Amino acid sequence: MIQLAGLQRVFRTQDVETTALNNINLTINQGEFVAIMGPSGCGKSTLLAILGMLDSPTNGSYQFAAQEIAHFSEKQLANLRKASIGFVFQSFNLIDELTVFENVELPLQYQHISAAERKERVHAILQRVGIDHRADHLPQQLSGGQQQRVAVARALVINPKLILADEPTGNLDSKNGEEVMAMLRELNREGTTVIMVTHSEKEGNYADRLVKMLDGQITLDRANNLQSLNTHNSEVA
Amino acid sequence: MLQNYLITALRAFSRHQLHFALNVSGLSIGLAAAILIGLFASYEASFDQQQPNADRVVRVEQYFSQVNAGVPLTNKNVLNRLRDTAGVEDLLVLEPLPPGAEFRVENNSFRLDGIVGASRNLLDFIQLQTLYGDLATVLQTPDQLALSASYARMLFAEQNVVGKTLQQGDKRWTVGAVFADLPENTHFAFNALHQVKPFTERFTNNTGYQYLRLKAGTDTTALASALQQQYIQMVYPGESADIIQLSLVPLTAIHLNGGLRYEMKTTGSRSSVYICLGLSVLLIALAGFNFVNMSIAQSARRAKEVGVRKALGASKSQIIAQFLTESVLTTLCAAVLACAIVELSLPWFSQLVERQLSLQYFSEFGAGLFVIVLLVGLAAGAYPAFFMAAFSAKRVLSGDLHRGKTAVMVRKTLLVMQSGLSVALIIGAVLLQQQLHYLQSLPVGYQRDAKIQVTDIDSNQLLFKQNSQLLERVRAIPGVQDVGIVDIDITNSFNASMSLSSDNGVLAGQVIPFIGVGMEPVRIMGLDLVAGRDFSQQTSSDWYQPLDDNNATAAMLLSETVVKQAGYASADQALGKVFTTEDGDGRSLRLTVVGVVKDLKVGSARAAQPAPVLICGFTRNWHSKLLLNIDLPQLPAIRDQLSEVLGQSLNIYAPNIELLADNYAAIYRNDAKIAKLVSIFSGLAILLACFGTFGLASFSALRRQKEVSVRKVLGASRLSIVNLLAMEFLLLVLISVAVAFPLTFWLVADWLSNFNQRIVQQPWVYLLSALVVAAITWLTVASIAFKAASTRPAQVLHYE
Ligand SMILES: Nc1ncnc2c1ncn2[C@@H]1O[C@H](COP(=O)(O)OP(=O)(O)O)[C@@H](O)[C@H]1O
Ligand SMILES: [Mg+2]
Repeated sequence: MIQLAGLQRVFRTQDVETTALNNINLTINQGEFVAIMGPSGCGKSTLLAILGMLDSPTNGSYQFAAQEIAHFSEKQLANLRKASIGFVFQSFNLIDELTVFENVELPLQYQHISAAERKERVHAILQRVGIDHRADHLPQQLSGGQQQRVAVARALVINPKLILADEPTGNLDSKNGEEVMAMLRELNREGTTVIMVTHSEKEGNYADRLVKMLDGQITLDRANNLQSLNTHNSEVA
Repeated sequence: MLQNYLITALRAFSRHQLHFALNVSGLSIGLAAAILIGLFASYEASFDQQQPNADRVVRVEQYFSQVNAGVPLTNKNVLNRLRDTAGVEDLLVLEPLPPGAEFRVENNSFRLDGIVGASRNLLDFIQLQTLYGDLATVLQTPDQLALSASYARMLFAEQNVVGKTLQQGDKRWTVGAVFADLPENTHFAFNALHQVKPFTERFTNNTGYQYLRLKAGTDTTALASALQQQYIQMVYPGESADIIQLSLVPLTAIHLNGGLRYEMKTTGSRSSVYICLGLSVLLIALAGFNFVNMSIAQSARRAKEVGVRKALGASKSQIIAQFLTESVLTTLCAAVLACAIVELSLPWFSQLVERQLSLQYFSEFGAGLFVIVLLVGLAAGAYPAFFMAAFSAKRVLSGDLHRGKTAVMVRKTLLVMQSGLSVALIIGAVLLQQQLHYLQSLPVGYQRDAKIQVTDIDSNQLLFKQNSQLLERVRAIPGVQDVGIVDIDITNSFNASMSLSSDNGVLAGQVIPFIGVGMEPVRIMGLDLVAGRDFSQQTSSDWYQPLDDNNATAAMLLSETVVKQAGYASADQALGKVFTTEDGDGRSLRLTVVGVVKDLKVGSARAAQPAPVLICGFTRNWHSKLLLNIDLPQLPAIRDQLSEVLGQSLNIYAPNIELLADNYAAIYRNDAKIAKLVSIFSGLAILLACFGTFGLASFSALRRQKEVSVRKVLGASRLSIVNLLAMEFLLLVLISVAVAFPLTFWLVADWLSNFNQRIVQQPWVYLLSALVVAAITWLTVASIAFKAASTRPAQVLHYE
């Protein structure tokens, strides 16, 4: 589904040049749950932004669904993005001026989906994340865990092929954090590809595959045995 | 989608009320000012547009090269002869009835003005509604009058007065028609119409206004020179080809082109319209700058939203559309508020510009207003929209909102422009006032305080033959200190000139304007006598005397400049010298110089005027004036007494009495109006600039909150922190001053060069306005910085 080859991203600011990503080669298949880990500043968010088509690489190739998009224009990227990628952010990033319902509805509006269908889909998804009783509230009226659930609902409402999550539990207590992780896990089971940046080893263990980064490079890329073992066990059980 | 934009916008407005309020009030002030000005300008431009074939009608005006003066009057007999010139389709003659005997209705006397003789094709030129009777018949029947509705009411206390009569001396007028009052937006002004006097063979006097309707596509310049050539041949045979210049002024331009003299009513001023338009564009620009500035200052707040929307699939153009919608919405709110401001201030503004203005929403003007509001909204929203749309979604993703540029340069540049404009406007307003004050305080060579004049008295009653009995009776009125005779309104203009020759041969047929006066003009007019003596009863030979059919004599006072022109070494040298001229009745007039006075400034000091001479007991004007020195508080009683005396002696029961000081102030009325407008608009501009500073300062305080807290922890005082924040802005003011000074100096110098007498631009005016703007800026910034400096550091640092 995703194939990165020799990918490089360099930031130039006035006199400093930062190589945020350097020679990244990574292939991610449909249905995988990948955790990206590494110290702060190693390039995780930059990698996620490029994967999510919010940013373009300086060099190298990025194939999405067998299509080379490294050279796509902003507009082409926006079109591709809005139909196939859902985002979950560390700081929730709900729009303060819009209600829960309107926040979740927004990506559908950008896809020009009819009002009736939007209403139906938004309610269904809010129900699924257990927040539909708060549909008319503004984000500030919700707790952090509730806000993140809304954010997940917003990512899910377009039925994305790929969900990108940048430290989705970073601002949550452990109970709420676990709930969100369980939600991502379940999504992945239903077939959605999930790529998640995290700091915690424990959360890394939810994933099928672990990618470790340092200074803009991938230092480790392995299947998560523990996780598959767990899965195996549960299947056996 | 639009709905989503609107919801977002409205909720954003209500969440950030201060920002929204500043934006809307700033814009609405700018818009309100622009609407007022727009109303005024469009009203001024609407003058006479309603007249039939307005685009093809012109008025014939003439300019006398020798005395450097133009009048809108011509000779009707000449133009009647020229009416078949190629290109001319029709001729309208309007000839005001010269002031004469008063009108009597039963036992009441009335001084009526605006009684005009008109050719019978009047209705082809002027849109006029006949209420009763038949106007066309009146204009073809002798001794019939058509009255305006308001005159009918004034004279007869009712409107349908067809068939009633008025007595004027031994003449009886019959009312044949009543017409609706003329609207305000026309340069025509008359209260009654009658048949114009028949054409004769007299070509020299300019007694009326002549209008031509031209055939479509006529070249007016060519026609004007063709007419001028024939006019000179008929009126001034043998004179040089530029003794007069004829011009054809389009009917619709008369109002704004008109001069001060001989118009049917006070005309407008093109320059005041232009100044107003310029100022309103400036104000809208200032308000727009504010809008841009504050929108960007608030952009960090919206960055997250932009990032999220992008991540969710919004394209750049969708983000732009969203913010443009928002700014148009803001502008619409501002427009509604602006309309409210306009409605509230319209009565005051109407009075200021002396027009009856009203705001019609469902009109061309309303539609234009709507379009302009949209354009302002789009223009002001464009930069912020593009700026925001360029926000990187990636920065949001990584929670990194504070890095990167925030268009600081753009915003600082806008602020520099704003304070530069403020400085320039203050300087302009102060210098304008100074110049006006200077003009009004210029020595004019005569006194104008506590003087009144009685106008429109037949010259034959006052000059040529001494009317001592009348003057005695007037002088006997309690409160009247003195009375004399002058043949012009000295605050207005000369009316006549003569070609003078001096006995030393230096002046030979030189055209020099003259003022006909009675005895003791120096004392009564308050002239400055430099040499010799006043005209006096003791030397009664001073008065004009026809000796025989070929010779006449009179005494003369010279002004100092004429002494120089005639080549005399000093004023004393000129005394006793004899000048010669014609008296207009075929006699040679010998004028003996008995005194010299300082130069008289007749009319406005704006224009350069030739220096005059004064002649005793002689005039060429049909009408002269009594000039009275009075005890001003007794004016009402004097008025009554004058009516009585003049009624008994001259049959003038309702004399027209004017205060000389009022007339003088009227000369500068348009200038005073402009000065007032500039002051008001400068005030508004400064207010708007304050808004801008306020917006930028609050942003900068927010941005530097952490720095401020750290400094406070380290022991900085509040004042030092306020100054730290204000310094950034004072530096901007300094830059703006550097730009504004030379530009303003150049513009003001250009404007001043229109004046004959002008002030010198003083450096203190410049320094003062820079200081004022700097002080206002400091105060604005300080009000915000003080708050920032007062915040407890623990709070800020804790949340960082
Ligand atoms: N917009 C940018 N401009 C300049 N440098 C950037 C920008 N975004 C990220 N960087 C730099 O790239 C590197 C990687 O950043 P990031 O991907 O945010 O790290 P992480 O998410 O792993 O903490 C850092 O050194 C950061 O300073
Ligand atoms: Mg990061």
